[in-house]
Amino acid sequence: MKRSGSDSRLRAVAIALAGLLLGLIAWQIAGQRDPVLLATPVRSFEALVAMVGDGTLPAALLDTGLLFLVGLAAAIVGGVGYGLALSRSRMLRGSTGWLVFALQSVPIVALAPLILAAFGFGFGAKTLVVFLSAVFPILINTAEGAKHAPKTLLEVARVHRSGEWPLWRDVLVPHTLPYAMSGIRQGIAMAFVGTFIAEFFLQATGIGGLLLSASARFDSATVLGLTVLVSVIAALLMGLGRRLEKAFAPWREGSTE
Amino acid sequence: MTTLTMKAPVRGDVTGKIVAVLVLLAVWQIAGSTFLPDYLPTPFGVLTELVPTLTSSAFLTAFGETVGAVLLGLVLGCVPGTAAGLLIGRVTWLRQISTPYISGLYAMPMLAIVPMATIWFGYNNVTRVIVIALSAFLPCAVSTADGARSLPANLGDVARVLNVPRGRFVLDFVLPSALPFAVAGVHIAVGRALVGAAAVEFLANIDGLGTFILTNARSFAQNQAFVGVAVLALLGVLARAGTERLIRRVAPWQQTHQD
Repeated sequence: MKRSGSDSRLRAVAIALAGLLLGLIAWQIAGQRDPVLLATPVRSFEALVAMVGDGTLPAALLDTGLLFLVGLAAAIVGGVGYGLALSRSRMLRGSTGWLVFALQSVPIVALAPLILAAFGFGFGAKTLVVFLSAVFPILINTAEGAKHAPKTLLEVARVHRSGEWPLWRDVLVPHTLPYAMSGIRQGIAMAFVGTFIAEFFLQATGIGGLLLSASARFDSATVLGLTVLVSVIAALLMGLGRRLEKAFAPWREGSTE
Repeated sequence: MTTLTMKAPVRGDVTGKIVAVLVLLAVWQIAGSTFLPDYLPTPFGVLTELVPTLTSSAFLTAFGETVGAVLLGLVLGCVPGTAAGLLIGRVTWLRQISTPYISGLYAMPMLAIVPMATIWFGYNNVTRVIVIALSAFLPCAVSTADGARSLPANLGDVARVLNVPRGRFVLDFVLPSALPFAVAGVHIAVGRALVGAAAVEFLANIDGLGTFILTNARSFAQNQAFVGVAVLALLGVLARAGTERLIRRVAPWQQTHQD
């Protein structure tokens, strides 16, 4: 909607809000009809407030957040690092590039029981799950970006006998960053999925743990409240990722995904 | 995706590949058998278990269960998803109303919906099919909506000038330009459907490849479990290769979506 001004933008927001309100009302009515299966939004909200009150929700959020951040950080370091290394070393690329693609297609959910059996359910094992979920998009996008660094610049650098470090600083990293950022955006989403895999299948902690135990109690109010909370957090994270990507790559707008 | 492969494979690359595989397998085998025997699958173990596992009746029924549910879920998710995408893409107010729902659900890991789904639909195949269908619905709807919106403005003008009726407009103008996007949506949906199936099977304990992996991993049959993981991965690769070919067929200019 490029030709629309802020006026119709406002209208779009208003309609979206009206849609949300309509959904909430429908949910409330449906919840009053079938209170066992479908808790009303009011009850779900009360359940969340109660969990904030007794401290379980903040503690769980902290747990989940820490796991997410540590795993994502490890994936960014590993993915960007190895992606750049792949771009500079023909040998490494020829020998392991295809392996990356092979490994990328292994579903991490399915690996979870094996990781649990081999490495237990400590923080390390859970971080490994998050790392594995997030590292491949970052790695692949970074390698792709480094490949797109202008050949002429690389050749000029070589003609002028540039060292490896200035070459990275002035040519490789600036040209790779936008691509790495798209990778990191996808990585953020995948790390969030990985966090839930870890919390559901390794050890029931954090938000995932709360969801599982509430579901086992058939406590639909808590489950619904938490599910909505998760979806809001996920949407915020996606928005943040898109922001990051745009901030580093204003000229690549729209060419992603 | 041929981003990392070389255009003309050189002999050095082939040896490099072989060396890389050998090193990987050797490290895996040695680490597995010295540090974590019985806890980690090993290449030799997987190799010896490969044929017996693939032909065992437990595996075959699990395979049939999962593939059947995934296929059913994909149909139930992709068909309405594509239709919804066309509508959302072309009807402005519908898009504005549905945006918060679609983007909230699309961003959310489908895993997180499983606890709710088990309360609503029980610990059975219905839950599995519904979660698969929902994981397939969202990428199809989002991608097709993108496609329906990206119809070049001058084509719309042409249709208006020629007084093309609304039905013909959708069939002859919108659908062809949205088609590659719709296939790209299916491309993403397939991967998510497989993952969703395994996740529901784990959580709800329904027969299928997921439970096959879980029971084997729990009873110290790591190698058999790994065969299950590999089969799931292979299914994903094959399905994605299939949709990628389809995209290249219907729209050679289109870049495939990356999930």
